[in-house]
Amino acid sequence: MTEQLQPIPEIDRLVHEPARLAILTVLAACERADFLFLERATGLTRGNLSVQLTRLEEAGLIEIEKIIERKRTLTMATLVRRGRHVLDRYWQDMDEIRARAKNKTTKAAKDVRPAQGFPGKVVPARG
Amino acid sequence: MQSEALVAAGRRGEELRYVTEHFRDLQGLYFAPFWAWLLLLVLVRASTQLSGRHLLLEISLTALFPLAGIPCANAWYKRYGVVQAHTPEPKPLSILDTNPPRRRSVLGFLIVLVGISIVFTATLLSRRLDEYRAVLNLWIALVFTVPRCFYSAPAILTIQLRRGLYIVGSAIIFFVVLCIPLMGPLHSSRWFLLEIICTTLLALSLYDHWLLNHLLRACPEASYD
Repeated sequence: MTEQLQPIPEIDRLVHEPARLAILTVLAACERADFLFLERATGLTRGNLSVQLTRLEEAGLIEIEKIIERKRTLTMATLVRRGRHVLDRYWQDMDEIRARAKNKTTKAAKDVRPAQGFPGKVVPARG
Repeated sequence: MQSEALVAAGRRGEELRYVTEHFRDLQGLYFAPFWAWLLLLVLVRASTQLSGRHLLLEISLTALFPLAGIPCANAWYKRYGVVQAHTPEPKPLSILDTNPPRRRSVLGFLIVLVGISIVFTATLLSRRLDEYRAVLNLWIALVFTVPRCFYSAPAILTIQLRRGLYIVGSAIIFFVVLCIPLMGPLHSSRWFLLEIICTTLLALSLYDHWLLNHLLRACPEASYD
């Protein structure tokens, strides 16, 4: 009973969205990456990627900087310390949810036993 | 169904992490043309007898290869974007530290590469330097293949295959350099050994390039819906 009342960790909806999660995963694996690489790695269209990056920047998870390198303007994105912390916490929450779901599934599988006949045989309901 | 989605998301996350961390390392086209050129050179040399003047020409062309090849590869990989890898925390400056900080220079890198390719080609093609050839081949194996066998790779088939190929490639080069010369004059033909080494290195570089493209193309936008 008490197990059922335990609160489920609240998932950060900002990070949970797959496109934004992909961007944050890429940025967590490097110092910084440019728009072109993010576009190729995530498979997002330019418009969508731009929108998602703006949302992440507004939330204070990433920093966007425009630099000029050999007459080329590069849009570089960096995961800030807060973003890294939020991403780590997100994965911890997900691990917790996954572990609970696994426990629940295991327990449910143990509870389901055949009423009669051979083990594992499915007994059709009457009526 | 949800657990499948979680597994798929986790797998894609691993792929993204890997391709970002090893972005530079997976750019196989930096070295593939060089190995292909050497292979061609070895195949030509194996079938024909060339004079000393031709040998000099071959060495010069091989030395020039990095000068032309690296800017071409740079231009090609510009289309993939820019990733800056994690840098270690800088040490605090001290007035007692008299050594200036080391800087990487593209020119210096090119000079070193040209030097290596001159020595490499001369050692490969000149009979006078036969005794150093085995050492140099082992050195190449140690620089290009052995370090890539020890990366922590996620449990994804194509990525595990890369590590497997590097382990097999290193083993082939070590075997070719150390064991085949003991098997007799027929097998220890200089050209036969070099063909195997160049083919192995070329195959590994091409697989790296394929893997980079494969990992970056694995996720169209539709899969996020």
